[in-house]
Amino acid sequence: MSENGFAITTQSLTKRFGRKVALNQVSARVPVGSIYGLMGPNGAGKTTFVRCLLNLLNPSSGSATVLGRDVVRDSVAVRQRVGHVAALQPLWEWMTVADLAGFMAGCYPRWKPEAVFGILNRVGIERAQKIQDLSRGQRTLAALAVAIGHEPELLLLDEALTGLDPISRREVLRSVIEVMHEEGRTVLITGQDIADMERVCDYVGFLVKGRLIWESPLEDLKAQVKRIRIEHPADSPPDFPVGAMRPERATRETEFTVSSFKPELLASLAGAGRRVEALDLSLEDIFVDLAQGETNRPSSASRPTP
Amino acid sequence: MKALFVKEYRQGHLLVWLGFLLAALIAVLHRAWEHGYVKTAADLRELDQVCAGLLLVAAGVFVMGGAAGLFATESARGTLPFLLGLPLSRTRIWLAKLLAGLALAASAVLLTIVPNALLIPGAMREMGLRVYFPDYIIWAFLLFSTTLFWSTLLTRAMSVLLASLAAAVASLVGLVAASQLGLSLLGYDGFLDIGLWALVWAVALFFASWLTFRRAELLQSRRKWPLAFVSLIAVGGLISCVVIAGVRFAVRYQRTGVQQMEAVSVPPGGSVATLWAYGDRVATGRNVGRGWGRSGNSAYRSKHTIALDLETGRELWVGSALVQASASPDGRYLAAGVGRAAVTWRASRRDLPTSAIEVWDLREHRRAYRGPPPGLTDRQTRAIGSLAWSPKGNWLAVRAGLTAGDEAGGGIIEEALLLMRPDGSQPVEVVLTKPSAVSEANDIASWAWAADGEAMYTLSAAGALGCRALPGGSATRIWRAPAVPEDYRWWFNQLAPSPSRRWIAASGFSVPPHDSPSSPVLEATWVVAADGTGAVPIAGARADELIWSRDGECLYVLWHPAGRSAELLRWREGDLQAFPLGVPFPDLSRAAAAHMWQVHPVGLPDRGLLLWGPGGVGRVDAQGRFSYAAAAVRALVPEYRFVALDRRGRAIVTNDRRLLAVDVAAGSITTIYP
Repeated sequence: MSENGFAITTQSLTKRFGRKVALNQVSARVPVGSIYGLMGPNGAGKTTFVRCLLNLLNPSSGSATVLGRDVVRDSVAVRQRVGHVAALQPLWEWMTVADLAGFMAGCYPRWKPEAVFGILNRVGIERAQKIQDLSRGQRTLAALAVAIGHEPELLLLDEALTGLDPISRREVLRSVIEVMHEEGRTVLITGQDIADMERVCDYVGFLVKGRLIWESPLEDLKAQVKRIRIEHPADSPPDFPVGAMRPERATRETEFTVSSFKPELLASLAGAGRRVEALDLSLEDIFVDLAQGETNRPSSASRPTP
Repeated sequence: MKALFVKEYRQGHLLVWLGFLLAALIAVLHRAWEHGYVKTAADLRELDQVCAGLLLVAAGVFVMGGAAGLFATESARGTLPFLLGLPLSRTRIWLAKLLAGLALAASAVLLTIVPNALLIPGAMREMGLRVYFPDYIIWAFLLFSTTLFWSTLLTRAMSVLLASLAAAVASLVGLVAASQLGLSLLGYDGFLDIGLWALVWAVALFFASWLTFRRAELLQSRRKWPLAFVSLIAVGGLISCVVIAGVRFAVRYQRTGVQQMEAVSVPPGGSVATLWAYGDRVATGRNVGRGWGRSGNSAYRSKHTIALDLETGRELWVGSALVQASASPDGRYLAAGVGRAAVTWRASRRDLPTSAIEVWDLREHRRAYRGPPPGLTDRQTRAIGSLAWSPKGNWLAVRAGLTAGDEAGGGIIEEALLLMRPDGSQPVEVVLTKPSAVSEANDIASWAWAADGEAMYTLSAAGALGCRALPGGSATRIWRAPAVPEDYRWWFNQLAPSPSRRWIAASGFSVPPHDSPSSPVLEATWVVAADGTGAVPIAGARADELIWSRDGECLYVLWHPAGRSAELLRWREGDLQAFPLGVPFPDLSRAAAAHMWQVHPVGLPDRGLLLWGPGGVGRVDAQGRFSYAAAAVRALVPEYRFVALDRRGRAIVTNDRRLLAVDVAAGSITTIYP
């Protein structure tokens, strides 16, 4: 069950810790069946956002629904249908992996042990191993394995890929995330490993200083955020357009990033002796430009309709 | 929830093994000491006491250990977000942890106690489980809830244990202080055992822990502290208020489930009865035991002092640990002696008398006075002998004895009457016997109130009748008994002022100092004019009862002359008639009738006397005519004994299980209590 095709919907979600505003009027929508990458610098509010979705934190204002349920009123029902793995998730170290799986099985109305132990086998974790004997990455993998035992409709990975070796990370991306995607289930990934996100995500959101400054399909993001390079005579440099990000000027060359690129922009910048070109940016460059642009110029989020 | 319960229990199972190991260790140590050092039975008991103490301390530590890590460990290890992310409501998580903690604590305690119950039965006896079990449970709950509360707030189990210990000690000091100092707002000082308050605050601590866990997000916010303490104080206060209201209601309106009564007392013509009752009751008016840990314990709560309204049978006041309870004839006040512990609000116990008294205003339902009898806060200890109210309830007389001290054998060497108003004001001391007196002739042998209570009559052993106006008026001599032969001395034992204040009846006997079978005994009864104008000898015999009619103009004198049946004289000014008793009751021998009849004034001049005894029930009217009571009333006699006549002239009788009011003239019987 979802709300108009969205697995997650937040409306002006705000969370304050005393005077500090961790989430500021966040209105996000995560389509059902998508792999949504929520990116942002450290302290941007990503973990707070995920915790609000699980009602581990109570929103100061605004609302959030997950799979069509209000996260505050129906938090237990929401958590029954959601899997959650946090970065370097501490677990009860005295338990074995099998104990942990058994405990989790007792907490959910339905449980699919073969899914759990299938992943554990693939990443080389034995059932009888104690949690305290696992490496940090293995603990995250164990947490990930038990997080999908109840076949969640939505999986929240809060920096969960952090600390995993490349092989494990790839295994997780392949055997968990892509499988869920193929089955039409939704995954929300937060983190800063942009290369991985670029590989698997089809939706992205940028959270900076608690504000959601961008949310769109990945293709739209790449189509709209471009680096403009202008070669020009030394005596006639062009003006930077309104909203230009990371502006750089040399004697005969000017560069800046725009977040709403259109082909007409190139024509408007062209002139006598100028050569204008639009360069594609990597997701990492887009992330840096948008984050710096938000830092320099606070503005409302640009969120094209997916 | 079951999975979480199992997880919590498994997580803390070390505590259970620790309990088992400790049990084994204590048993082994006991056995080793028993063989090595125990020589006498006293040594063995001392060892058992040490082991019992160790077991109790261990049990307390296990109770705390069961709760300490429930939340603090999750916070410290960072597993709390994972736990809260499970599809369980916070209430269910809290409940599962609570139950698991209780199960852990119970397992550890049982594993410690049960083996030792088998191996060291002496230690078990010293623990007094049979008697103290409810108390142990209550205190364990308080300890557990305190630890749980701190576990919700702190993030390290050791910090939780230390904070809980500190809180437990502070609570204990606070509760004992509150109990000692008294809580006047309750209407009764220290009216409940601290065990009940421990239970109240255990519930409040549970609630505060639950609310904090439920509302304080990830337990990282500093806002949890005000939330926890405000909710604790609010809920604790609220429950306390409810308990106070409930107990005050129970104290006033609950009827005791009486199984047995004793010391039933009704002042002549009174409207309130006092008695001791053994029975079940939720609450008493005063604290039972000042020591801690005596809550809810039937062994300590079964005996109550009760003041009853004779009209309605309602319990006007219920208390415990009282002696000599006495209601004023008008039913307004209740006076009783209390133990020394009740007066510890004073700076030092050393200067206090052995006992103190309390006076309660039953109409206002408040205490009018508490403390030692006025004038006795001095150097010496005195024992309270008896309490007596004046007929109108405006004076209270406390008979107190000055003891010689333990070194001198502890006997009473001086006795005095300490008179006071119900609120303790206008104290007057009247010495009855002086230790320094060479002769006992001047000792006051008998005393009595004037009808209006504003004066008292005293009669010395030598026959000097005096009147003392209250308060503090000088004593005036009214009459002195006629001289007797040189070797003889008067001993007066009966003094009865008439309600009209015109006459005073006195009766006594005289024997030579060195009594011998051949020495004749002089006996006499007089009626003395209260204005001191003279005395009328009405009988040459010592009276056993002197009874005035309500109008004070007719005196009945009962005596049992040796070798003859009891006789009753009726004296009215200028008129004397004698009636032999026992004749109307042919089923009694004359001798039995002479010694077993009790005679009591009905109170109305035209209704004469009530006779209540093993031979039957009847009345003697003003003309001396006898009449039987109704058969239903007579049927009570074998089982019920007479207590007194109440304000309406009804005979109050009891068989120690029920209290009845009998209207002898009408033949009606009313059950008053219970």
